[in-house]
Amino acid sequence: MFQKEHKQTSIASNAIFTTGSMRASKLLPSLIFTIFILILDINFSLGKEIKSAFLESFSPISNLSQSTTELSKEISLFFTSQYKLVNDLEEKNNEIEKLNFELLKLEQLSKENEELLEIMGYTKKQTISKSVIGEIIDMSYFPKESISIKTNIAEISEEMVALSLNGLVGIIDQIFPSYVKVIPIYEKKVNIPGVIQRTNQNIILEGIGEQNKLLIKNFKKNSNILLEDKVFTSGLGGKYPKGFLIGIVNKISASKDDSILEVEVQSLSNFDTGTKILFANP
Amino acid sequence: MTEYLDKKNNFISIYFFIGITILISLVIEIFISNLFNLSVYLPITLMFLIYWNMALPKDIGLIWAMIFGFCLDVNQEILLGSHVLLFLLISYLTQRYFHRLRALYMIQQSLFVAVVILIYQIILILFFSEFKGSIFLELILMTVLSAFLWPVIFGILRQLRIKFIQSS
Repeated sequence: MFQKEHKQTSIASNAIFTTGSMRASKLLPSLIFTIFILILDINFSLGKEIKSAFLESFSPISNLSQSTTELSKEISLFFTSQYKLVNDLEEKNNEIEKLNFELLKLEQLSKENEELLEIMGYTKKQTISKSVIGEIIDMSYFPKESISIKTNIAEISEEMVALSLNGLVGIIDQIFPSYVKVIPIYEKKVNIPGVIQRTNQNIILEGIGEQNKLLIKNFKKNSNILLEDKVFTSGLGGKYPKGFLIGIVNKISASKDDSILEVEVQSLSNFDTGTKILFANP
Repeated sequence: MTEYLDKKNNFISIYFFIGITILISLVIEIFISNLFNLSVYLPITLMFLIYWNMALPKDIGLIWAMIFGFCLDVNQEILLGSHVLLFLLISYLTQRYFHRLRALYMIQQSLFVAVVILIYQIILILFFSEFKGSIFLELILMTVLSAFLWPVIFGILRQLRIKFIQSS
């Protein structure tokens, strides 16, 4: 009897835990379908397009959580001492920006002063009798290089030459009512009387219209010249003041005329640096 | 005579009620996952699914597990079907042994849910996600959190179920 009762209990308990519960056969179709999709996605990346299309539909929820994070940050900042610190930091950053700007202005001013000092040093030379300072207002670049300089026009004459921080840079091309147009010394048909420093030989340099290039006119073959020889203004003719560096010899070659050498001088005047120009008369 | 029809209507409404609750859980899961930017997510959808499989196994079926599984696959940008596969297996096991699970104490249920979630997360990490060094800590954290969260979810859904059934 006891055994019978035990058996009944056992059957009942089994019955409780199996009645109405899911059968594995019900799961199989869904499982096969899912595995099929999984394999398709692995082999053909089928889900990519579906994912990209559906991801957009989930974007509002993603954006909502992002804006919630930002809002909570703002709130936590507002109720803590960090808020004041962040504000202070922003103010200090603005101040730093302003100071940096001031520093930049001061640096520029300092450079201008140095330049001015250097240029004004020329006026103390005995080779310069008259000089007028001017400020560069406009610049056009190669092949038609020129600079426009604002200066006291009443004191300017066409015979004057332009000197910058780098030395002799150009000659006056045109005088306008409020400014002067200057062209570089290597402009075509500009002739400059010069002297080779090493041999003290007088020469005439001519601009050929190529950037930073000048040719020595009629330089005889038996003359003494070497590469890297320095060429200065001689002051002859009375147009260019004496003693300004024009350039260095960088090419010596034979010309069509056997008795003459073709000597090329590399001009060292940098036409587009500096902000001030000194107009001078020897 | 109309008892049969009434029952059917009631079935449809509870069926969609289950769907809506799981949809809400999905939204919360996506929201939380975007909020904390972790590699392991808090599987609220799965917990909701376990509850409904346990509470109303005849009404839920497997379709919601498939639909929301696909939604999670799309959202987490992993292989289509990976969540579905796991959801189906867990739904099957829960529906298979719902009598036993119902009879368990709350702490035991929490432990069961934690173990299921741990296995679910490990399978997801091993087969479908990228492995990172910090993932162990996140895995343990999410498992423990799920165990603590289960009584809350259970309580809320139970109250909702009772109220819904009473009203309908």
